[in-house]
Amino acid sequence: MKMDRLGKVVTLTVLLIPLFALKAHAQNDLLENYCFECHNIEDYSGGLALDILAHDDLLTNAEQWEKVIVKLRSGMMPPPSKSSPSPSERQEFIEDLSNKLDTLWSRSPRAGAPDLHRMNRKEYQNAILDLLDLPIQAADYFPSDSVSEGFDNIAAALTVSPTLMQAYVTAATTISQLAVGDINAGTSTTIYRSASGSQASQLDENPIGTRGGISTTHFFPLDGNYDFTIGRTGSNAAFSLSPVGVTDPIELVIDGLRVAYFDPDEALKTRLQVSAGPHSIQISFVKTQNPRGVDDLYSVWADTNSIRSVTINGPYSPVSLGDTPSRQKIFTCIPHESENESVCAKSILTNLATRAFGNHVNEGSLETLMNFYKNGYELGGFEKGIQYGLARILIDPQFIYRFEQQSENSEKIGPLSSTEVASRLAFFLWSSIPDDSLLSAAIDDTLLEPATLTKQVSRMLADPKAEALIDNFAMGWLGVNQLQNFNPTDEAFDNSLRKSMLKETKLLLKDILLGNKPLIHLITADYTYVNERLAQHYSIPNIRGSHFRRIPIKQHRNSGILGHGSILSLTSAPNRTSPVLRGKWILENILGSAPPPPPAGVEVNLTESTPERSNGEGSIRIQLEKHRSDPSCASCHDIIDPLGFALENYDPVGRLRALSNGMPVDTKSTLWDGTQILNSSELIDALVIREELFAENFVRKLLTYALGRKVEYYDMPSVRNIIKNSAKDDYRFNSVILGIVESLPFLYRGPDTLNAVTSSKIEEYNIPNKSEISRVLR
Amino acid sequence: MTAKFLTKKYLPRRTFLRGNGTLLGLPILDAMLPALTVGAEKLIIPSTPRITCIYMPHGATMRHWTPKEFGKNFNFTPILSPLEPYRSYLNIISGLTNTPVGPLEGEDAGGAQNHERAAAAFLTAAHPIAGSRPIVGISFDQLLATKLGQETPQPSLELAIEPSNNTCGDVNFTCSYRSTISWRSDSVGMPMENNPQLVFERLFGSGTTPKQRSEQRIQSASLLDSVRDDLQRLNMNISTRDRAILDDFLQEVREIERRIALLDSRLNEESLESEKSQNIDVPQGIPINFEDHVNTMFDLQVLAFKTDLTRITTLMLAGEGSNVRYPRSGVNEGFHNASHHSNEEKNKEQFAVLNTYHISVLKGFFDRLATIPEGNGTLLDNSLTLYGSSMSDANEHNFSPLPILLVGGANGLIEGGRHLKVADQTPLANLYMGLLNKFGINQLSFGNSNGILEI
Repeated sequence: MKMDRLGKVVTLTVLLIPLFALKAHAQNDLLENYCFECHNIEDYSGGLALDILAHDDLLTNAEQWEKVIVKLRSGMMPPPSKSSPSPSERQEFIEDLSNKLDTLWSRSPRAGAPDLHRMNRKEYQNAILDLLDLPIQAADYFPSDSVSEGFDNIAAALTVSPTLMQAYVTAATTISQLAVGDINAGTSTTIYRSASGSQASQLDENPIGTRGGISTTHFFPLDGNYDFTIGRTGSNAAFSLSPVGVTDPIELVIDGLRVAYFDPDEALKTRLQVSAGPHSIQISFVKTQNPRGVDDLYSVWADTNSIRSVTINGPYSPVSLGDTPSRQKIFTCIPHESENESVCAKSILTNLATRAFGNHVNEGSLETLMNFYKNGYELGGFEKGIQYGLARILIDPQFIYRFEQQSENSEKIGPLSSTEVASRLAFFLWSSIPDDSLLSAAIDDTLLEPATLTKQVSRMLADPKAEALIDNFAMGWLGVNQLQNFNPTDEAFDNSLRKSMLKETKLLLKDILLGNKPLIHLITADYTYVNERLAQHYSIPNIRGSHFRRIPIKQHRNSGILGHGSILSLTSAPNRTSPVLRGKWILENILGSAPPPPPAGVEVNLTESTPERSNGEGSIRIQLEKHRSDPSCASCHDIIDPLGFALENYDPVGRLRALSNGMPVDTKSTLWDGTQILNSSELIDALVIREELFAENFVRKLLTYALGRKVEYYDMPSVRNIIKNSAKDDYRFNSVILGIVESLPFLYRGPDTLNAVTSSKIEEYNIPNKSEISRVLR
Repeated sequence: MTAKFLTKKYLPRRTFLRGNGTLLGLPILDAMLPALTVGAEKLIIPSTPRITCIYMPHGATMRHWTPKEFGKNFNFTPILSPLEPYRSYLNIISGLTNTPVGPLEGEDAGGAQNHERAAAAFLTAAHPIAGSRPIVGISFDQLLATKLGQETPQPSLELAIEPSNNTCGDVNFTCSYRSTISWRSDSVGMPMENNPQLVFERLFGSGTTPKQRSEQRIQSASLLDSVRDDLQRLNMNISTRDRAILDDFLQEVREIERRIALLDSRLNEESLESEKSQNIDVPQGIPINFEDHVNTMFDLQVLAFKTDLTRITTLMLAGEGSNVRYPRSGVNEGFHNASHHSNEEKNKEQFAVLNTYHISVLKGFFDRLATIPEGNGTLLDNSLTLYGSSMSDANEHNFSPLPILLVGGANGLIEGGRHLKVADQTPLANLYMGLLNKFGINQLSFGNSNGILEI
């Protein structure tokens, strides 16, 4: 009865506010017929009472309405067990509702305001490389940055702790010293370790005719002598019974030239003269024999007999600062007389600071830098002065943070300045500071002209630095880096396989995104990239060597990333597959609809106990099906599990399998909307049909990454606009990126008061309850 | 076995020979303590204990954790049995709860989100709020750092074994809740460092010789001084929120200035860095093996305590929700999966094996503390370690009764050798209140405390 009454109230109110609320015809009927049964004020399913919302102004509840759109579009609401609107009804409703929202927002747009954005450590590393031509490992200086929304560049989570501040200071002094060079710097020790796993075959980066070892690039601070000490395991004695029980000699290669050769019994230490700057270093066994037919033995032997580390210690008796790329980049002028020194210093520091801050250097800042120059100069002359000035630049908040001015009218959104946009662009596309071309366009104020902006974006995407989008955005979006911590019981899965899997996924992402191919190719590409290790794991014959090559995949495995060992492994438990995790991964990363967390007391500890062969009792599938007979589980697991079942033909480390624990694998399943699928390739077909969901999820994730903040409901008109415009271009990377760069949230900034969380709210959450003081009972 | 990675050219062979007869190799301690603590005997032993808080996620099989008997005459349970040698230093506290781990009204009540909150709620006893911005509360260790840690160059050290961010779960929560247990304020989580080399550099500074380290301190101090001045003069048209962020930055600038000055005077006065220490090798990189890694972190904490560079440490033995496998435990399941025992007996037994393994690794810390003489006793007598979890039965994601231990003589402030039972629903925060009280810190409340657990 109550329902009826409320229903009438809704209709009446809606009639009174015809423009802003939902119209009382077809659209409202859809809600009434299919949604109100659960989402009403009484039942309040999922914390949503649409019957109440429907008579409010639309924008008041825009956040909830956006959720309604997502659920309806994905087809996951109404739930599979309830009656559903027809596809055309559904489509019409979604379009009408989103058009209304877009129209309303266009009258009073909101742009959001990310917090003052701190560089994360990856960005710092890139910025140092771009600014000073100095390769550093940020992890040697900084703690890791917090991840929110799936990315480590979200401003709200990039807070500053004392640990980090200490790291900034240490980094500023150390890096400025390395870049400028300091003849009195003393010696330092660096150890590089090899990846675990077999060293039977040649490493990609190492010379032909070698096996195993280490490849790295080391920065030598000065021209001088350096000690190289190689650590290895295994010896002749341990393998005296083996037919291949001979230790290979070891060679040390610097910049492609063999500089040292160690016979098997020699001490693995040498002192070499090396010039300042970065040099590539390879250490490997020289293959003296490789008997045919004993590959297996050989690889066992190589596992225990391998190069484990190289320690570089120095410089000893340094002779000069050398001519490093960093010095070339820094010293744009060289003073010939002492009166020129401060003129030259001013020019060097202005140049460095402009690039580091991504903006004109103001008088005050320049004065500070010159004071540091003078302090250093008094201690050790011109070069020391530059080093001090550089250290000051590296600790400056204008380098560490990206400042964005608050618009004049603090109530309304305002456009960003061209230098602010340049910074946003550079951090979005390169995870680094603007380069000279971008910076001059910004300083000329031409950057914001549409043609210039487009041109800069294409130029930047074509630059190798755009690979940062693959490492930091794409790998983060798909969660692939979590494979680092996957530690399955299957012994086939070693570090070399892990690295190979990551590289396969990275290469495909790079090919499709930076190659500007249709987005859907990520799940349909009929080729992939493998090396010998991965091919062997996939049972693909005739692939030799550690380098990656593109091969057709369809005859072997599924196309696209769903056939990748990386994804299939990171969604498994250590000792079995997990259709739930695989299904959840597809929902979150491909379809963009995260399932709600499971209710209390769920059983996730499914063990593939010995099945009773007659009925398969005990198989993961049977256990999950039993689990879904509980209606409270079924409402979500009917959506999640079938997606994962279709991939049961892959084992926990991504190998194809016909049997699971002695039973034939069963990949048949029924998707939430009734679609019947037989196997994993039909699953991919089913996902292709839902390309639009994939695209929408992709755009939201990329926009999150681009803005460094959560995408909010008020950003949705922009999201829809980007999707609409890039659809014509098959959602290719370049169109989506351009769409983002030209969007309101990227070019404008809103007042920030809306994000603020007051301290009173915190207190409200943590009220101590007032019960008795408890005492220990002895 | 200890890792080879710390061996160095001049580490005397006799160090190993001597070490062979004892339980441990103690690479860092053996190699560095003699050199770095020249003059350390002059240091006054702090009157309050050195405190270590160690977090292990995912609870335990409680029936094999909790002794049946209370008081002094308890019998060791299988999980706690590795600690038998330290019985007189041990307090097992049973019956505590940490409700901030659970959902508030209106939040998802399923329980899986408890994993998002458990680690951050452990030492804060405050409810972590969903969203990309962390909002929780100050943690017990950080409060201690502000009260007891101000005389040491590092008020506290925060350590972890797993890299942070490797166990992100629900995207509605920031990962920082899962990756740190140490909170400086409502919104600033202290990064937990898992690289021993960086921990060492944080303690002693970077640079290879005392002269280099000293120069670096001087340069750092002048940089910070200048940034502080400039920030105070900064007149930029930025939002209120951004200005608040800069204020936080400024606060940390001041804090590091203070620490550098303290370290500088300490190193000069106490000659901690003597000629002998000139050639000390800094630990390099991260050990591959779990036990080696944990032991190295234990070494560093002991070193920092002994040299009085810090008095407060925290250690996160695994990330919340981590499904890492411990090959040496004999259990093949990943950690998180093993904690979801589905109420099957054999799975509960299996999880207990894992819990026992963790306690046996924990014992290594006490073994180390007990070898370092200090005053009339050892560091173990002058320290207190809190070990525990924010969940009880992780299969249910519940948070009562929690597995909580206190180990150490606590400078005589806390009696040992007991199994204590607290009243039902006693907040974990009350234990923190009790400890604060013992250490002479007056606090009206902490987190969700509703009283003081007198211990």
